[in-house]
Amino acid sequence: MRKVQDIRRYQGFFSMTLLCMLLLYGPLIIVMIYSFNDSPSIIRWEGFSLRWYYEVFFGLEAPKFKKAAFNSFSIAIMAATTATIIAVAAAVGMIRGGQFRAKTASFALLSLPLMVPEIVTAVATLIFFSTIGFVAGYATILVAHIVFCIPFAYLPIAARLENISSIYEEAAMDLYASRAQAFFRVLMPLMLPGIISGFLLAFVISLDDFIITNFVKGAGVETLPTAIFGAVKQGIKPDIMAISSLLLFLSIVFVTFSWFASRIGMKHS
Amino acid sequence: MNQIAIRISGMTKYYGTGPDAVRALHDVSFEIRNNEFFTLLGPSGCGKTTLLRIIGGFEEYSEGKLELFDEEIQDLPPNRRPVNTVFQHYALFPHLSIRDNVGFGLKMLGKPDSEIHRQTNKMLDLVRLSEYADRRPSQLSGGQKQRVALARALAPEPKVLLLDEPLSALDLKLRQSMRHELKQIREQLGITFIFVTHDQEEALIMSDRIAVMSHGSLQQVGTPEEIYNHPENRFVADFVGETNLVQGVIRELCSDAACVEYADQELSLAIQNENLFATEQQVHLSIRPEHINIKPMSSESSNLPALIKEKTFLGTDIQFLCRLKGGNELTTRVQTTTTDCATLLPGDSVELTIDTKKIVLLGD
Ligand SMILES: Nc1ncnc2c1ncn2[C@@H]1O[C@H](COP(=O)(O)OP(=O)(O)O)[C@@H](O)[C@H]1O
Ligand SMILES: [Mg+2]
Repeated sequence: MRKVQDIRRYQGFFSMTLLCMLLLYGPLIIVMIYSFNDSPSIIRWEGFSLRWYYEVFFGLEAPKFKKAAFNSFSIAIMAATTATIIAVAAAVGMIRGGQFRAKTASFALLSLPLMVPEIVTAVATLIFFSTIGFVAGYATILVAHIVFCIPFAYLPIAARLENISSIYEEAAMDLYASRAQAFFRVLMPLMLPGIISGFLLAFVISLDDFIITNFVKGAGVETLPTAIFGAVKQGIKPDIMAISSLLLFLSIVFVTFSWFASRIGMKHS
Repeated sequence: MNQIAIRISGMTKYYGTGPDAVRALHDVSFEIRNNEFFTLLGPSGCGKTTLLRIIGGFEEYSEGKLELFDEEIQDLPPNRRPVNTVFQHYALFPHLSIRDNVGFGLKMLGKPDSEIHRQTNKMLDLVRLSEYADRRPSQLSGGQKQRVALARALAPEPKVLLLDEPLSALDLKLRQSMRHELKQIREQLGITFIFVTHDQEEALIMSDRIAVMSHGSLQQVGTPEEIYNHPENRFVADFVGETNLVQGVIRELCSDAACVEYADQELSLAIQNENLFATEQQVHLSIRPEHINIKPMSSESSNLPALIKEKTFLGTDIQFLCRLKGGNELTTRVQTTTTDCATLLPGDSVELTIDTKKIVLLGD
């Protein structure tokens, strides 16, 4: 028996759900299906084939996409790693630092990139780089990605740390651990699920960023999203669908891992 | 033998600053001897944990002095004090096995692996948890976690062990057996235990000496017998054990006795120090329920006549709440087996006899 308050009893709940699902996932599913289409057309179905996936890896434009993929992944790994380290330090400072002046301001600053429209950040970053005379290219993308990845890494890490009682660090120090030992031997392992979750989230966010990257990248340096955008401008070909499907799959894998990581050990603490 | 392990003098602690500051400790001074089972006893919020955390090094204090074996340790961080803590909620490291939890302190001290292994095994034996060495804390019961916490704190062989209400989360049976076990372990190892509890029964059973605290102030320090039989003030008399606290007036005073009027009776009571009292002074009397005898009313008596208001069966004892003529009420307790009072019922007329030698006269 369902409870009276059960949301499923509201009229139109089912059709509303269906509509939302359709709008959210319909286009994605269509892209995925048509990436297997054995035809250069993007609307007419002519049977199953993997030719567009072959095209992505070995076709005429493959070197371009491979270069972009290399840029994307190397930037994502470095940006996510750096952002995670900064986020861990920030979380420990914010949550274990007690009350300090400008604590609220610090938190606002940390989460600002989540609230400011991305285009504003993009323009601001571009202006900043050109003001200090930084040559646009791989390095500018990396720096920009580190910055906007920090809040995404911070949130799961901070959420985790909030739930770890400081009694564990006290117990470690009581048992002759120095501050550093208490951090690395007790607090870090307890925070690890949050750290992994934060890293994976930052990685995915960096991997699929388009707006900021498009502004700060120099000529000739492409990441996967900007390369796809460039290709689409010359008309949508099915190999774009194949790349998009691959990216989608990767994102789902990472987000899923991130979600599971954030739940490890929840039962115990 | 009678070396002082810990000396606390004039300890005052405020949480916070300015008008919102909370005073958790007020001018607390006492000494804890080496190899003593010393208990801090007091109601919740009286500052026991604060005092323990100050000794452990987790909390700074506002005024006073803290000495460990005649050495001031104010500036030593927790990891440099030869003092270990059994935390109230165990605080076992969830990501480490039981063995690694117990060996943690020795590892941090940089002891060689062979020694860590030997000492860890010894400690696990001591708390009878050797078979559980490779489990995680989450796979143990409350009582087992408690014993791991004890083994972990004892493994580095501290000079002083601090225990913050270690038994309060356990159920009654387990608590009783752990009391016994703790006492035995302390006697076996011969180190100083500072034990915090709000349970006066636990304090009386386990301690060599007890410090009773209330609202951040020290009330009395003494052996369980001293605390129970000779409370120095109303708070201690009331908090430790059960008692009747009644008001009386001193009618006459001489060097070692006072004549106190209570419920139309003149009671002659022994006193220690006449300077604390004055004639016609209002005083309190602490009369333990077991020091009042009760029997059915007989005609030719000069004792206190009373009416039974309530009767409570307590297993080995029976407790009566009696109303005296003037409206005063007294609680009395008699053993079920040694009395003919089992048949008394509420409403019956009785007479009470107070063992005046056991009455404690309290000035404040
Ligand atoms: N971190 C803190 N900040 C502010 N007040 C505190 C803090 N810890 C304890 N107190 C206050 O200090 C007093 C003593 O607390 P505590 O030492 O925990 O008592 P106990 O252990 O005897 O129950 C209480 O009034 C409590 O509210
Ligand atoms: Mg406490």
